[in-house]
Amino acid sequence: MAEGAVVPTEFITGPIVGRSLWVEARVRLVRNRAALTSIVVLGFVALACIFGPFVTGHPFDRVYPDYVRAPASLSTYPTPGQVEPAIERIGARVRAKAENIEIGRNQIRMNLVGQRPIDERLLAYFERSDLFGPAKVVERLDEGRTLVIDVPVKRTYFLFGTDANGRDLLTRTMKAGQISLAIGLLATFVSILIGVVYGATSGYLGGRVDLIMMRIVDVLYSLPFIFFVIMLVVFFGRNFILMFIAVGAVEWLDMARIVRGQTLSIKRQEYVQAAEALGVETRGIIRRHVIPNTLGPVVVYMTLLVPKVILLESFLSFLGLGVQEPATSLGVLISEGAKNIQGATWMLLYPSLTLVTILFCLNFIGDGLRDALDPKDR
Amino acid sequence: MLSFIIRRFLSAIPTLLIIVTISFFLIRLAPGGPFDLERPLEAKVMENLNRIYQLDKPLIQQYWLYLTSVMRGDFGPSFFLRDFSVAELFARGLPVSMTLGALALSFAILIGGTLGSIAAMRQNSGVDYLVTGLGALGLTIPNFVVAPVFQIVFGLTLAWLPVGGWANGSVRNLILPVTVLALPQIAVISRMTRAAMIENLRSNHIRTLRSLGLPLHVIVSHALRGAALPVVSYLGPAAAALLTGSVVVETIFGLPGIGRYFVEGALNRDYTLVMGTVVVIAVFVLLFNLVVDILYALIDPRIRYD
Repeated sequence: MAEGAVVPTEFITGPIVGRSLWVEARVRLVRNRAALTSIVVLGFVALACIFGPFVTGHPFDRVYPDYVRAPASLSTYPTPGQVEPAIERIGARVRAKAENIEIGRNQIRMNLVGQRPIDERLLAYFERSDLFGPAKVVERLDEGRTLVIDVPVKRTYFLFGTDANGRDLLTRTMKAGQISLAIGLLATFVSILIGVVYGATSGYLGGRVDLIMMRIVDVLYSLPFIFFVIMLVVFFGRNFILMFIAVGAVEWLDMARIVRGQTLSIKRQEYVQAAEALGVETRGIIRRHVIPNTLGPVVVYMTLLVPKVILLESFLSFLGLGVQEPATSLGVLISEGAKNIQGATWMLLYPSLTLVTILFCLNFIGDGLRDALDPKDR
Repeated sequence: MLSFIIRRFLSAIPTLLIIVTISFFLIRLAPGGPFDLERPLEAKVMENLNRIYQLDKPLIQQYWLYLTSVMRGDFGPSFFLRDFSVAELFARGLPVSMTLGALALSFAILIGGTLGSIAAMRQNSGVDYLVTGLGALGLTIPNFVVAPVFQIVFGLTLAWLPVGGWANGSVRNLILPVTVLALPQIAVISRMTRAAMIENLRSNHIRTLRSLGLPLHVIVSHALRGAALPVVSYLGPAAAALLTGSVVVETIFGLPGIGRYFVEGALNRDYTLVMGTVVVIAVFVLLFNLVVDILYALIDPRIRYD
């Protein structure tokens, strides 16, 4: 397009500003509604996952024994129905009966009536529960047999509900999103690194080396890869970082093939021949000329690989081979949700929605990038 | 053609050998052994067990023993499921997995192909967007989410179908697992068919057919033949995906297939079981690749193998 050959020179006033492949690709990508929306949504999800756990007010591994499987709700906990049974339970431990319970907005006033004088140290049970703050004695009657006490109510939000151990699901989903995204990116990076170097070397060297290197890829292809992953996990134990590398080490095969195909056409280009004629060494040619020019398809494949890796990680976690407690990933949350689906649908719903949103966005970005970077394909 | 098939068969043998070798040494080098229990066995008992299963010999010798027995078709006894030999386990599990996989694959080709063709015929219409959207959904929702949701909806709420179990392969028991297994494949195949059909419908030979005023079904059948090529080449990976995907489906629906032997075997260091599964799956993948090559030649007359 920008080749000036057909443009008569007298019409050119200023210097021609060339538009590189990347600038044009960006313009095309921004014009693609679905891809742009996906980038925005994914950015939002990623930010929420990274900074969200500091905002929700619940540590991701904090257990609330009084709120096991609390349904997702926009209003605060404890619900009105939860307060009185909780008071009754605590009353039984204090060996007293609660009477005249007045539930205010943030404060509960009640009379504790016991058979014998009530040990005030036992009032610590109020503080220990997840529902109330420290109790304050307002009045002592009947030689300590009746206590009038004020108990503040702790108001907490569980927007996504809590899980089977009483942990806040919103925080855990965010934490899981963090880990899943991190796994996706790191494993993709590892596989791209291996795949690009392997493919470029194989394609550029050609001949017998190429034949052997590609034959190895073929053999690895027919190895059931899930076996390979499971073996790697068994080997390295359930180590988080090593798992990235294991997954990445399995997923590089497609990449190597794509890059090799690209390299085969690149190595016949004039600039590579020029570099060869100038006596640049092979490693330099591969690094300076071959790899940068294969990056278009690599970027596209990368965005499509991230969702694949996230799915693979979830699959491993579903089998119990993935991330271990108390850390969590979307796959772990989903498999827990699947187990609790009958009583607690929210435990499956929100992690799945998060996962599907992330995967959807990545797929649309990948498709958009392919359209943007490969003008022939349109 | 025949010589090509024979050549491919011969070239599959070294591949298979390498796969067996890699997986044999991988699982042997993994820490732990098949008889490691929470409470360690007595040294004498352990020694006897190792001798019975020939685990006390040098690794190379064991490898050779295993290789020769596999050649004879003997996969050895299972270490973990002690009363069974691996061959017996496969005789039970393989038909189940194969039924599931074959049904899911044919289902996926039928539905995916039809949906993709319809979408391509009406490109950029509502139907097209619907199919593309459904395809994206099918690809992104993992099957371990779909399966429990289906169980709840169709098994418990509506009570139309059984939640799980095999029941000797009765049709009602098969519907849910096959659907769950087929969904991602339907998505992929419909996507590929759509792209290939769009390209084919624009090609010269289709334009000629159109200009001759031939009826629609003739045009479609010609375009389908061209569009089938990428789909056919996908069958190899699809078969592998179905076999591994069946791990989840078999676990969730409680089906007695071979998928779960994989995970169980690897975790319990059941050497023979894992090796057997690897060999069986590798043979399937290689076989499918061969079938793909042959189908390719049958569909596309430009391809010659001689």
